[in-house]
Amino acid sequence: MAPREADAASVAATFEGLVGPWVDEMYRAAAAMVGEADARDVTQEALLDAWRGFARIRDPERVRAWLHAIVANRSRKHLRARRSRPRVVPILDWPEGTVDDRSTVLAERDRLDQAFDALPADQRIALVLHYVLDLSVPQVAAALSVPDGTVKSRIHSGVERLRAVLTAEDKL
Amino acid sequence: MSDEERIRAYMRGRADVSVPDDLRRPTAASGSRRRWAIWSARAWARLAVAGLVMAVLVVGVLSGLQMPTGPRSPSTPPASGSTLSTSQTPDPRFPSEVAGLPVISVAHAVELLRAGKLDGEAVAVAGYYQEVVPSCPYPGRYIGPLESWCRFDAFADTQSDAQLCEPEGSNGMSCHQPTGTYLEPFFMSETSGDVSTWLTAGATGEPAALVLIGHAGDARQWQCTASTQGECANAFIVDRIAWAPGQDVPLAAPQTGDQQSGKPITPRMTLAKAAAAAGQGDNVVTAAAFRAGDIATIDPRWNFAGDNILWLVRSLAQGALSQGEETRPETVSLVDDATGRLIDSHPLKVGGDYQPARLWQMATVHGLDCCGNNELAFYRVQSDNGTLVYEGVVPGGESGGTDSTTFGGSYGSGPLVLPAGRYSITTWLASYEGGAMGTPRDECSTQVTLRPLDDVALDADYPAGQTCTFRAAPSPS
Repeated sequence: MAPREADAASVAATFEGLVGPWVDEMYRAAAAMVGEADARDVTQEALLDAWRGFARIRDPERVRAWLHAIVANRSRKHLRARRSRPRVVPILDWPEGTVDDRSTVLAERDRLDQAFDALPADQRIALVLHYVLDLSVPQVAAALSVPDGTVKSRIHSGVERLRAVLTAEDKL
Repeated sequence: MSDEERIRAYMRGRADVSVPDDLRRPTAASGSRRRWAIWSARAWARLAVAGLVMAVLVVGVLSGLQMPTGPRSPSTPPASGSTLSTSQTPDPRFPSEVAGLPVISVAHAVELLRAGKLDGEAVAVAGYYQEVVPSCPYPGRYIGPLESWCRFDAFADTQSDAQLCEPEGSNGMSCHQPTGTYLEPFFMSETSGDVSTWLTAGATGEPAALVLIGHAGDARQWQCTASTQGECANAFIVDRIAWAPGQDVPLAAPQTGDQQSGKPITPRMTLAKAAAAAGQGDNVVTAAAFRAGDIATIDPRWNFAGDNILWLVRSLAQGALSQGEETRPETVSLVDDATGRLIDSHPLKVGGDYQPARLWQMATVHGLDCCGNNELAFYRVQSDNGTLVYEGVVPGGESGGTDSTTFGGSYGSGPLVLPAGRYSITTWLASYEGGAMGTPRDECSTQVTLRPLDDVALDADYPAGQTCTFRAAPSPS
């Protein structure tokens, strides 16, 4: 969150003070939504949007939620524009954790990647906001300006698609 | 591990990436000029708009560029060191006419602006645009919507005059303040279309060739402080980008948002229908949908409250231009998005008899640690005849410290601009989440009489556990 010291308002009123602390999180959310290869561009676009809209922010202390919405919007535009472009497949880092069978983990992650990349943009964004940024359903709904029920539906549908991959993997 | 946990772990793995250092911290150089790293090819391409902006902003205050810290001429820089062009026609690459208006040069537009001939009058101006927004220190005061603070941009007759930044070295830029004769256009929330699409040109962000339709003497000058109003009155407000290389830029409704909740506005009507409802048809230069309670931030002569959607439509006076006529009076109309009814219209030019007062809202809550609480202060303002003219959060940020929070009164805290008269004012505290206000508490009320040109700041003081009282506070200056 933004600083809470006595001069918080002074600091928070500057763009740097408000947005700077969230750049990392914006980038990571963008990476989860659109992939690391495009995360930089999406984050930059989102930062530009944030700057342009900065003067209209009446409630600086809610800047994190506002930035979530901006990153989500930029990611959505990016994903929709990317439909016709060739897909860049990154070389994966080795997943952390205790695993016995590396090939199984890689296969699972690859299939999850394929399933995730095939999800509609709105489902991807809802999943990231919920599972990566730990936003509650109402918080995701507020960020995306959609009803709670819509968020639940998007998360449920996305999870079911990913769960289907896991189930298939488990049967192998 | 359950499926849910595996999915969560997978999702978090997607976000487990290293943030590029240059995204957070561009390079910096000392001296009279400043150098910034450019984040990527796309950021480079968008430099003219603001790719540079964030790099600079994230890094902090610059040493090289002199930051404007006080009022300065926003649109028409001093002529010192420059000679006004006598040419009234721009570079031949530009069209000679757009939207029925003759296209004139920047130098000529500056002459007209200085002569007061653009007050409420639309003009079409051709030129080259580049913008740099540097990092700036906290201004320590209220910045009006038409004040040129923390920006360097130039709309000039030649590409070289508008060129504010050049590549330097393999990974940097050097920028300087604009020189020569130029305008500083204000692209506002009501400006037609997606402005950012057009403000960049080429792969290296050279100044963009544009034809802008705009005006001066905007009513928002009253949202500036009394001491900066003159500067704000000279701001060149862009109604529409009318032309970009190779094409006429179509009129389009911009994406607007609820200024309190930040949520996007989704009107029912199309721009064409709103224009038709306003009786303006092809004469429209911009039209945008706003929450009724936000209309006063676009044209403070209208004070509405409520969440219903209204279209603000600006249009040119009808009829053909006579020989030598270069500008055209604008009319601004309001159309109800739900019913298509024309609510009101008036000339864009502010009448000399418009002598409103400024009312600055504040609230100080003791026993509430600053800042970032869910608790906000709200104001309701009703005119003597009971008409609701404002209802919403106290605008602006929060300040204070341990055990005390003041809402409004500084950066971002624009005034209510109200006709002289007697007003009932009620304040309360409530939570505010996701654009929804919680149950109001600690309501208190007072009445004020505003005289023409009054500058009144009211601070609703909430002692811990006691009844609120109102006290006068210094007006932003």
